[in-house]
Amino acid sequence: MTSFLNIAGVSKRYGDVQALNNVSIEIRENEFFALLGPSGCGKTTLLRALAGLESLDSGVVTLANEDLLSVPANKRPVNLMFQSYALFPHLNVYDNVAYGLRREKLDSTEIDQRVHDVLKTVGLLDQKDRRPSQLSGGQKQRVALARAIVKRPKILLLDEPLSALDKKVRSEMQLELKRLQHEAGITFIIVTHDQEEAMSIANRIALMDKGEVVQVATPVEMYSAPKTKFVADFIGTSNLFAGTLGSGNISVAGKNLPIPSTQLASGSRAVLLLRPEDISLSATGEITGTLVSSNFYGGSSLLFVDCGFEQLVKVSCALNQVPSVGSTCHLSWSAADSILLADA
Amino acid sequence: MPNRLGWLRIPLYGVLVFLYLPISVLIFMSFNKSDAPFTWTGFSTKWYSVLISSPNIMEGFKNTLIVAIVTTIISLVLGTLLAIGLARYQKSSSLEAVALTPAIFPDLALAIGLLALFTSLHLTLGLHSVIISHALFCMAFVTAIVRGRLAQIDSSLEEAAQDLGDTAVGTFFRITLPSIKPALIAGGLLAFTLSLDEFVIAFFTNGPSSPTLPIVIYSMVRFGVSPEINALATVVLLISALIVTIAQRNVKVQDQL
Repeated sequence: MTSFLNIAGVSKRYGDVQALNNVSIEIRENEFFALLGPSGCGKTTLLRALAGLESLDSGVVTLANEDLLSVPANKRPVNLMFQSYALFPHLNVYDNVAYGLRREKLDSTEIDQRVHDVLKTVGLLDQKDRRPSQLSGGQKQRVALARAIVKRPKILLLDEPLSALDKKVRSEMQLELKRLQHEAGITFIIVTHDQEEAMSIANRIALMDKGEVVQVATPVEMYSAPKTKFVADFIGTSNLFAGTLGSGNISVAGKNLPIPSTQLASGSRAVLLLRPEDISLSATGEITGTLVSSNFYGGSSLLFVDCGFEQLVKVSCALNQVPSVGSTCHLSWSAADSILLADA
Repeated sequence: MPNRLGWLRIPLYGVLVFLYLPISVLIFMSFNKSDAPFTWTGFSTKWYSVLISSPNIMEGFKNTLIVAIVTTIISLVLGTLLAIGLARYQKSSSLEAVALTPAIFPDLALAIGLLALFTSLHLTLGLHSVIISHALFCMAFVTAIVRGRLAQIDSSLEEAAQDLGDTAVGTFFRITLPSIKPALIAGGLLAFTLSLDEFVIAFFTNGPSSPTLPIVIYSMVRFGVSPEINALATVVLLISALIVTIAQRNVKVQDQL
């Protein structure tokens, strides 16, 4: 598939802060794409630049092979759903949603039809005469969404759309966003700092750190084949053992751990990544430690085992096999399940 | 909880009496039949008819209305633009302080300064010079109120309007102005009342031919308080009270939004 939105070498500096540093991403048509990263990584700056609310110092952005950056914000075929929703408080739901269509000078029957349809899609037809202050958080979020998609943009940008909602409503809205993206056939770009959200909602993710793109991949690739230590640490739950490579093993805090086959030279610094679900409790193990605590997560528990490393080792464990706190645990894993990363 | 106050009611009512007794005496005496201003002889509304038939007072009232209305319009437009400018482009807080201090200048200092300025510019004094002077300090009040409102509203509203395809001018009239409307009403009414009974600055910056109402009252009481002054003061009081009530109601609406 060819790229639809092509972001090539964009940079932006605010005083001493390099908000975006030579960022290049290719986004496909009808993709649900996530810009993920810790706060201050530049993801929101990039999103606002795509919407036309922020200028860039250098770089090129094309949408369907046409230059996007020279088009003013109010003429771009791109709409942004704001983190604060930015609903107009003096207008009711209907007028909020109709706002963008009226600016296009469409005739009133078409406006009425489209507003009606979109309100029905998000399930707010009954609330159309209400003011934003009379709506719940989830309802406001739907109005903001309806107001943006009713314009039928080529790309819908969503800035932390679910961050203001409580956890239960959030997972409902994640499903709803997926459904809407599918039905409307619009390319969605979502900005989030929540890796679980990005993993569950997006087709592909760009993980950003300090103004740079670290890795662009599908959620599964990102989890199973992280490119750097930062990715491994940011995505999912992980055990990271930093040490020095020997021949066929890595020396971490005086213990030699087995490693998968690697291109890295013996004697170099490296990090061994082990996911909690790849470690199992057994009679004899690679490492041995004491169970410090266990956290219950519905179907399984996460054990924290003190094996004499800097951090406790996290092990996921079926409910009926959780040992008592204080008991000795032998941990084992297959070296093929572990991932070895260079430590910069 | 009405019964919680207990003995604290005594000082409460004491303070209320202290605050409102003078005003009550004034209103009461304005309905006095007697020609002496403070000796009650019976009920009458004759002093209100005297007011209406007095050309001096009616002239002063007309001048005051002209000054208050024009002042309100000028200070609303300039004060709002200043507030928006401060909110959007302000880089230093001292700029904001400079814009707002005219509101707390001592009247006398401002009056003398304005008079000195007008004289050195060879500007003839009259209602226009009063209007300029009133607009100067009323604008600072409007700026303060509108600036406060702007600080409360979500700054991404204007961005959202542009994102939805609106122009900068359209955004101003469709989004910015409606969101600060309560502050505009409150600020405008405040400017109107401030100008309505302003004496010191008007006294210094006015010409001899067109006195405003406070100046007319001042020249009347110089030769002793006559009973129609009570009636006039009552009318001014009622107008001010009415306007302040409306203004406050709008500020409350603003808080709820």
